[in-house]
Amino acid sequence: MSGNQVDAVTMRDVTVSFALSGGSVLNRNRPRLTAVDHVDLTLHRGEALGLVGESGCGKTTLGRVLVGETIPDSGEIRADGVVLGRRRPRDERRRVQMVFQDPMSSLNPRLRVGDVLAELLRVHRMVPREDIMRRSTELLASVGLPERFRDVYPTMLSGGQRQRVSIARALALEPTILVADEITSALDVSIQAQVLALLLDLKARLGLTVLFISHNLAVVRQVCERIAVMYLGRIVEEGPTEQVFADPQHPYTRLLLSSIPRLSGAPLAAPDTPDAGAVQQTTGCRFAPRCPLVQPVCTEHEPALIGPGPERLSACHFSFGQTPALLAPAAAGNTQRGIT
Amino acid sequence: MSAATTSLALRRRARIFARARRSPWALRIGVTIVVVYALVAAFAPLLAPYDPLAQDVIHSLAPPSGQHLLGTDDLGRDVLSRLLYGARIDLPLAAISTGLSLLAGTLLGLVAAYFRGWVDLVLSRLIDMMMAIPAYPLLVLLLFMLGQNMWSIIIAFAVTGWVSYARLTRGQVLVVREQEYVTAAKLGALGSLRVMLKHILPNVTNQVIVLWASDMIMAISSIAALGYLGLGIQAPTPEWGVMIADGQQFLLTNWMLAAAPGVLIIVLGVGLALISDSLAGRSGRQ
Amino acid sequence: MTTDPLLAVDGLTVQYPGPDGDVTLVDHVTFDLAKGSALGLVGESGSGKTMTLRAILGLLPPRMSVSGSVRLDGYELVGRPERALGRLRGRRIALVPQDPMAALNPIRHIGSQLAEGCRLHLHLSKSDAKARVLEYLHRVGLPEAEQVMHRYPHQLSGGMRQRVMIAMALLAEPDIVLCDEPTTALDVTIQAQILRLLQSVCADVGAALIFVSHDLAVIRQICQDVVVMYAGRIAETGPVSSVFADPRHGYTASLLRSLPDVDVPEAPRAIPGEPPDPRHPPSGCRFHPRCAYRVDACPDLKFELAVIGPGRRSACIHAVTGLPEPDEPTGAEAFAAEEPAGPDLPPDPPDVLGPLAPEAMHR
Repeated sequence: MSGNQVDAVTMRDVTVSFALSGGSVLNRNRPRLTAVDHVDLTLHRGEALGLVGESGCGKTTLGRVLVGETIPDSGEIRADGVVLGRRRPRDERRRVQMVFQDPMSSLNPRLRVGDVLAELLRVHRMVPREDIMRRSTELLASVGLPERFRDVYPTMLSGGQRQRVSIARALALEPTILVADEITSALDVSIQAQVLALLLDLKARLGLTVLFISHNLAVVRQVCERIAVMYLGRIVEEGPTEQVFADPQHPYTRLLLSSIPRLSGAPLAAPDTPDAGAVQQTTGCRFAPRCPLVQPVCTEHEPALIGPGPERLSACHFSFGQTPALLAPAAAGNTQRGIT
Repeated sequence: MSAATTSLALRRRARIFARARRSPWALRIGVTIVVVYALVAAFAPLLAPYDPLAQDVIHSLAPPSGQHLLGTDDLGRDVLSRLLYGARIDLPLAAISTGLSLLAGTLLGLVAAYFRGWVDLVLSRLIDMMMAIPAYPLLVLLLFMLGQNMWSIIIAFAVTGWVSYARLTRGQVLVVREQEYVTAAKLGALGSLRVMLKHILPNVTNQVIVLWASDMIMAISSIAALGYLGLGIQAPTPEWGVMIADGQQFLLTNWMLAAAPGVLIIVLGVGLALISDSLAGRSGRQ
Repeated sequence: MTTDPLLAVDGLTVQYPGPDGDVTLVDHVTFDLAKGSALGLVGESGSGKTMTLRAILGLLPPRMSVSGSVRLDGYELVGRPERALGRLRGRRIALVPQDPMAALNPIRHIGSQLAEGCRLHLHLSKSDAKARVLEYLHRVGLPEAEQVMHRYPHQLSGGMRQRVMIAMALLAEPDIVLCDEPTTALDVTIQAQILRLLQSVCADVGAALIFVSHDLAVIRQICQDVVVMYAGRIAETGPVSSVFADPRHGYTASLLRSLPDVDVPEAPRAIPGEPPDPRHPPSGCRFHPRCAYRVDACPDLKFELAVIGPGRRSACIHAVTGLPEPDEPTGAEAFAAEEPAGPDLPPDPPDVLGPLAPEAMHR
């Protein structure tokens, strides 16, 4: 970690669970689904971290925890060194903003683009009252939209334009941290590349720290310096993007990489494993029911997220050419990061 | 074969009706009807040729003539004047009572669905309870308790009427609050009140107004029904329901006495229904 | 290529009446589908790919008019009455939709929904239908077929639902299976399974495949031929391997360059601007305002598919000579929005149709 500088985001031991439907609200012992399970995550200042995984892995929930939309059961979230509590005051909220997945539902059909921006600027007193119009225009310009878009209703915009407006809205509060949740997955391919280029440009110009949530590994590779792979509520692999792509350590990461259709037409490696979540696993590694390399130890003991360095981690008994750590009893249950 | 053709003809007719309701004319006609009624209510003293309460027993039950365009009733009162003045009773009563229901119900539904938790729990149980009690007996009970005057009618209708607005709004808000633009507004730390009133409410008002238009029909016919039964507005006030009840005994000789207020109620109902339907069609197409 | 194709689409045109004259959504689309082969239909939203699929099925909204010809084994489909088409749908042409949740009845068991199609199209008895459903559920990789039959759609995972849809489509052993972005809503690992399944099961049954997608890599995986569409017209068509290796249309090349490649850390090249409004298409080659290979003659180019090789045709001005070096946008231009559709022009006009629902197949 980079010495004296405070990391943009640190999330420690974050757990989120949701009550499953059925049963009364008053019943405190309703069955609960753990969406995020004791997750640690750090974002360095100015970096883009890619959070990848399949639907239901908890990546969106973790993003919502960071922006304060979802209250975690436990854990600590710091942004710029400040602990973000359950009820965040206005300027702490400002710090972390979000761009959403669905361009169709992310803008209020009843409000003009300019009104949305002006309201934020006014309520937060971001600029003097007389400068609100000028600042709105500036924000639109920064996402590549001309001034006249201030007077336009969202229903008249295309998906790509809506996504640009969403980005401008997030930037209106001058956040230091941006959560981008699948921001390109609903767009046409040709438009996707535009929005990604825009995001990268803004990140560089404004020094934004970005939590980039995506299921699309190819996109993550273009955008992110580091990557964290989630599976059923846990981070199973983490590392610098190029290292993870060049030498994935967790079998789940390998499965994800090999499942992507290639333009070269290389055949897909897609073992007919059951869907995630279809199999309940109570002990051991969560990926064991789908894992092609499963060993008896995997169903008995859950592997810790460990690795050769604090920034290169994998939660598999067989990562980094290891024999199962559990064979050495001292390491059992050791969840400390890094092997020393 | 013939069954098939009739069902086809029926379907075609249903389609024509559906299209007619959706045409811009439906809304225009509906609005025109309601506006005419409102104007009549506002200017009844100027329009009515006689005092609606002035009796002239010598000329009772007169047929329509140059002097009395719609004749007179059993006490010799001018029917046309009574009808015109009736608009001052039925229309504002219905509008105020449903308006109160709308205001209370919409706000309660909005708050409950926005905050969820125990607020929502309490409101939902209350709604369930209200739904379980039949509205008319409750209405009659309230009127007996409060006395039979305009204000007790308004209160009685508001007490029984808010439930449907609360239910509708709650359901709509539960959907809208999950929209990403609402999350975005919350992330913008704009304050709950602002998010509720500016970002959520405008997206549910359409449905509420549709309900309100059809609720008005219900209210007007209920007020008339209560007047008819002697439970609502009391004679000699020129209320349409009271007039129907009074005119009923002369159906064979002076059918106009009962029919005219009936027709007025039906036409107003159709006007409101046209508004309600065409608005519903619009929001459905959005 | 000398044998008659299974499906011959010729000059297919779909229009709808707009306030200022007819709007053309599909403009003289022509392609052949050989028996047992797989054809990809690629394009962005508004390219007309879904509309083409609907026109083949005869499932266009009433206001749309279709001209041109679609022949199944020489039998003309365009202009046939609904009753004649209804007999073909499900039996000879089947559909795998994008969203199985919208396509399955939420309050009926999977088994009864599948069996219904069987009994309707194949006139099987109740027990025969059940046996056939079981067989096909096994074939699409649902080993607990017996249990799946008694489940409701919401009790299945997304991947399982899509397997059920494939079973449903194949029950009558159709000649052609039309797939409308069947894997877009799925996770990558499940997408890979479904793609492989589609390939193997269709080969088993001997069905030809038309696969609509916006994802070129998916098309590359499972199709032999590809039709690239832009703004209602065919831009380029030919065998997948040669089209992707040596694109001969500015749009195909731009699309390929805009795809992020998971094996290369290099940033993809965005295509500037947005697809055009079908009510006001650009003149000449419709892609020219966004094209990096544009030359002066492009805005006046007459639409014509030039033959440039065995089975390969392209409408590009560079079709025969090959594409020149692209005129790369630099810096801010790379992500700047092209002059966008004005506020007076609501975008995406014809996309109000909703997903294709298979109930429509049994109408």
